[in-house]
Amino acid sequence: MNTRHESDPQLDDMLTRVRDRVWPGPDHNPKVDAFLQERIMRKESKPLLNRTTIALIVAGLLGGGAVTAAVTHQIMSQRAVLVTEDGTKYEVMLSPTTEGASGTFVTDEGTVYGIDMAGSDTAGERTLTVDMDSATPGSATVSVTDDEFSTTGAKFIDEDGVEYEVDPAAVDGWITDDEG
Amino acid sequence: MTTLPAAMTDAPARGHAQGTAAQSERSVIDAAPRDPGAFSRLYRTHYRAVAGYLYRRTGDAALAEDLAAETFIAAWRALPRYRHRGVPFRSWLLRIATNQANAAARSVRPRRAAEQSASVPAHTQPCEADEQADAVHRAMHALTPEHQTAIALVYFESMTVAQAGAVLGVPAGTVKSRLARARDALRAELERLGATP
Repeated sequence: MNTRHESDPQLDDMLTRVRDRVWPGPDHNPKVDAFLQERIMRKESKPLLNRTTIALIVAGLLGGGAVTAAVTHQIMSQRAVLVTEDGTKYEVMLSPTTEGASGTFVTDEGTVYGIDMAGSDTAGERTLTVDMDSATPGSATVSVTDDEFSTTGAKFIDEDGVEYEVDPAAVDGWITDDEG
Repeated sequence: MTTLPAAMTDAPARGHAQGTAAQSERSVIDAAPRDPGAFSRLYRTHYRAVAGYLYRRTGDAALAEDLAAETFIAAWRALPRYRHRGVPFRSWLLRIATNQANAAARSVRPRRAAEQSASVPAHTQPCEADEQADAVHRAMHALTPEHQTAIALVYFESMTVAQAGAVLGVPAGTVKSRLARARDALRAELERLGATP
């Protein structure tokens, strides 16, 4: 032991008893083994996209009559929800950008996810594009929340090509009608 | 031809080997965020040290096993943010493990109390050393998680206060002051429990 603040041989002796305790278990952990095995199998069964940024395209989800400006306004007022694989939800209020809105999720673990949303109305087809930094491959889904948006059929595709269905249930309770 | 003493010839070779090993681990770390197989090698390399730390920190093998699992799963998710900044990878893992242990210590719900792990053998015949170690762990529960951590890293893991500071991301002086208060608190709690030898 390298630090002594006050001589106390008895206490030091007791602390040494703990220091001498050796991990009595195996050299591996069944939960971690299963977790990694699942990811290895998932990786082997999916094609690699090899992209640093994934894009989620949700087409035709905007309400009728909306134009680009309105779309932008709607996006500006949005909150987005990130759902990690363990079911934890993170909410972020998006800030307006030139084309739409953006925001940043920071999970409890400190992982940072950037999200950019942009709306367009081209040839009558209204499209909402969501770009999300794939900072942690294979560990996130993203939901878009708005009273007028439906997330049915939306998917998040990570760098490994793994697709995650957006869970509409994850949106419940997060929908707001804030108008920027 | 002069033959150098073995110790002199071995030193550079060992240094080279250590450097190669560090480079090898670094390349594995770089690959790991996209390659669960590479992460698996890191996990196999460091698991025993992390589980041992958590076992000595908590005094509960089943809980330590749970926390070790959560540590490596959290590390897998956080790995893209890991940067080579002079802090050993194991220290980074121990920081995550410390966060897990602190969260468990703060939890109002006892985790797996009295539950035995299927993969970790139970204690058999307790000896005097076990009883003293158990007494320390009972007393540790009365300490704040930060004080528990200071005791665990410096006394149980034999780190210097600087090394413990690197794990925790705080100055060595902070660890030193926490350690002094932690010792006082631990001594008082042991006396209160009548556990001092």
